[in-house]
Amino acid sequence: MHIFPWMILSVSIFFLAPITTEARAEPNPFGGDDPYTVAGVQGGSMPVETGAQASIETQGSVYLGSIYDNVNPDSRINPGNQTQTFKKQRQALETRLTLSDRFDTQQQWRWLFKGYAAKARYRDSDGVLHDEARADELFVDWKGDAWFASLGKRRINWGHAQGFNPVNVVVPPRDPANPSRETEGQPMLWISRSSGAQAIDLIAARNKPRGQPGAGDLNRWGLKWSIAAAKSDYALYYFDGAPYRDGRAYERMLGGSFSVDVFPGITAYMEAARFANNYRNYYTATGSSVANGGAYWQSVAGTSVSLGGKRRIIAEYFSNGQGYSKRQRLDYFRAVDGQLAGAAANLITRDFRLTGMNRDYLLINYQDEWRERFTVDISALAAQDRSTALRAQGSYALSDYYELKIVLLRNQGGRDTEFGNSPLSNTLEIWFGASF
Amino acid sequence: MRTPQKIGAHAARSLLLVVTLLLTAGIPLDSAAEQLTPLQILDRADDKWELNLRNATVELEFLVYRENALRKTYRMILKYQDTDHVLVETIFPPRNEGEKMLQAGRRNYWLFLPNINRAVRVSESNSLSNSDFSNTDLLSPRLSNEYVPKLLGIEKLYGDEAYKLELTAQNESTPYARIIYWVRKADYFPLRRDYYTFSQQLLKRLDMKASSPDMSGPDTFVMSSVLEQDKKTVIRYLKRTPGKAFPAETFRESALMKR
Repeated sequence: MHIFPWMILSVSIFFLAPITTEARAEPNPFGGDDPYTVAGVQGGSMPVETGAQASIETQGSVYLGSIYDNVNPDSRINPGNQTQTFKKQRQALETRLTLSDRFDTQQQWRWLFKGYAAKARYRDSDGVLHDEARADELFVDWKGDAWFASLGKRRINWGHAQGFNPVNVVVPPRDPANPSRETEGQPMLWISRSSGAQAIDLIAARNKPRGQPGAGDLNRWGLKWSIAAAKSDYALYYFDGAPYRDGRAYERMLGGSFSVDVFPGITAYMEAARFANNYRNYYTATGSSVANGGAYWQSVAGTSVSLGGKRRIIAEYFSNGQGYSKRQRLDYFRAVDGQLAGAAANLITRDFRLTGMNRDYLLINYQDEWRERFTVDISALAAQDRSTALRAQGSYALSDYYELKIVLLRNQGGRDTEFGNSPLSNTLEIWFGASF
Repeated sequence: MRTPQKIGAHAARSLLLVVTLLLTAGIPLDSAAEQLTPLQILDRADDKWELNLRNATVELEFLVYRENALRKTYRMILKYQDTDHVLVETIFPPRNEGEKMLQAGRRNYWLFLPNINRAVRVSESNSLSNSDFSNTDLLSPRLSNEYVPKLLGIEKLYGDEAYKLELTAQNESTPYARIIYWVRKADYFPLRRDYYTFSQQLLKRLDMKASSPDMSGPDTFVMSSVLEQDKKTVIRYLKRTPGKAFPAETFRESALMKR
C-alpha cells in the first residue's frame, strides 16, 4: 500500500492552496442600522460595458489518484486473472485542459480544444493499463440567428435518457452508471437549423473506434429533428453509414425520444431505437457462435425527480433487444469455459459486454449536495439475472479549486450472471483534484 | 377699459371657481401618482427591476450563506432578452464552470451539465444552484403576468413611504400562493417581497437595494429564508452590458450543447 505519498502530497497542496472566501466566516450581510447595507458592497456605480473583451478562455483540471482493484476470483471471463491481468493497486493521473476563443467582433466564430491525458488508466476494451494523451475535441463552429455549423472532432449526445442512451450512436456509448466518463468525440461536420420550436440537425461523421482494427475510417451520417414545447419535447433520429470493409451493411438506426414535465420537478422520458442489423455473436450449447443478423430494438423509460436543491433521483428501465436470454447467457459462459480451458484465443471474451448480457436492466441514481461542499452520486444497476453493480461517489470540496473524491465500484452476482462474472469485483478509487 | 382692480377680481373669481370644481370632482391635489391602480404600481416596480436587465448581459456574484457564514461563491453571466428568455452561465468556481440554466419560455427551464454534455428539464421552483433563490425568482422578476395585485395600504419601510401590495396567485401553477410586495412610493423602486406558500406559510423574504444613486433599479438582492433563520443568499450585479441583441437561437434548449 503506497497511499502515504499521495496523502502527504494532497495535504501539502491543501495547505499551500490560496485561502478562498469560502474558507472563512463572513459577518452578517445585513450590517448596521440599514438592513439594505450588504457587507463588502462598495459604493459607486456598477460598471457598464459597451464592448466584448477578447481573451482565450481556459479551463483545466488535474487529478491524482490511488486505485485499488479487487480482482474477481470467480470471473469466468478472466479466470485466475490470466486473461486480462489486472493489477491490485496502482497510481493514476488524469489531466484535462479546455481552451477556446471567439475570433470575430460579433462572436459568431469560435474554436475549442479539449485535451485529455492520463497515466495508468485501464482501457475498457482490453483491460490493459495504458498511458494516454488525446484530443477529445478540436473544432471550429459558427453560430448565426437560425443556423449553426461545426467542423472538427466533437462530442455530441443524442437522446433524453440520462443513463442508458440507445439513440446516442454518433459517438462511442457511455457507461450508464458513470455517463461523464466517456469524453472523446468523433470527427464530424454538424449543421443545424432552428426555426421557432423546431430544429433540424445534420451530421456527417468519420468513425474511428478504439480497439477495433478494420472498423475505422467509415463514413457515417445522421439526421435529428426535434421540437421543444413548454412542457414537453420530442425528437426523431436517423443514423446510417457506409458498409463495413468486409461488406456487411451498417446497423442503420431509426429512433425517437421525448420528455415531458409530469408535475413540477418530475420529468418522465422515453427513448426507443431500432437497429437494422445485429452482428453480435450468440452461442449454442455446443459452444459454436451464431450471428443473429436481424433487426432489434432497444428502449428506455425513465423518470427524474427533483427533491429540491441539487437532490435528485433518476430511475430508468432499459430493454435491450440485443441482450442474451437466460439460455443464451448460460451457453455463452459454457462456451467461454471451454475455449479458455483449451487455451484458445480469447476473442470470445469480447462478447462479454457489461449492460449487454441481459435483456432487462433497472438503474437507480441518487445525487445530492450538503453544506455546499459534500456531493454524493450513487448508482445501483440491477440486471435481469439478479446480479448488481453499485457505484458510489462522494466528493468533498476543500476550496473552490481543490477537491477530494472517493469512488467505490462493487459488482455482485452468481456464477452464471453478468456482474458476477465481471473481472473486477470491487474497486476503490481515491482522488485528489485541482481545477482552475 | 378694464382697470387692474377689475382684472384681479376676475382672476380671483376664476381661481375660486377652478378650486371649487376640483373639490366637487373629488380629485386629490397632492399627487397624481395616487391615482395609479395596484396593477400599474406593480408594473412600474417590475419595470425598475426588469428594464435594467432587458437585452443586456449582466455579470453577477452569487453568495450563499449558511449558519451566517459564507459557504459558497458563484460568479455567473446572465444573458437576458425578456422575462421569458434568459440564459445563465456559471463562470466560477472552476468545478461548476460551464453549467448553464436556460429559461426557454414561460415555464420552460433547462439545466445543462457540461460533465455529461446534456440538458435536463428542471422546474421553475427548483432552487438555483442550491441557493435560497428559485429559478423563477431571479430569471422572471415580472409578477403581473401571474399574480393579481391589491393595495393594502402605505407603510413606512426603512424611512421611506412604501406601497404595500398583496399579490394573489391567479392559479396554483405558480410557485407561490401569495406575495407581499413593498414598493417605494416616491419612485416605485422595489424594496421587499415576502413569499408565502399555498399553506399560507411565510417562506422567504427578498430585500433589494441599489448600490448607488445612479442605479434606477436594484442591483443587490438579499434572499433570506424565514423557515431557517441563518440561511440567506446575496446577489450583486458586478458588470452590465446593455443594448445586446441576442440571436433567438441563444434561448433554445437545442443550443445548450452547441455553445
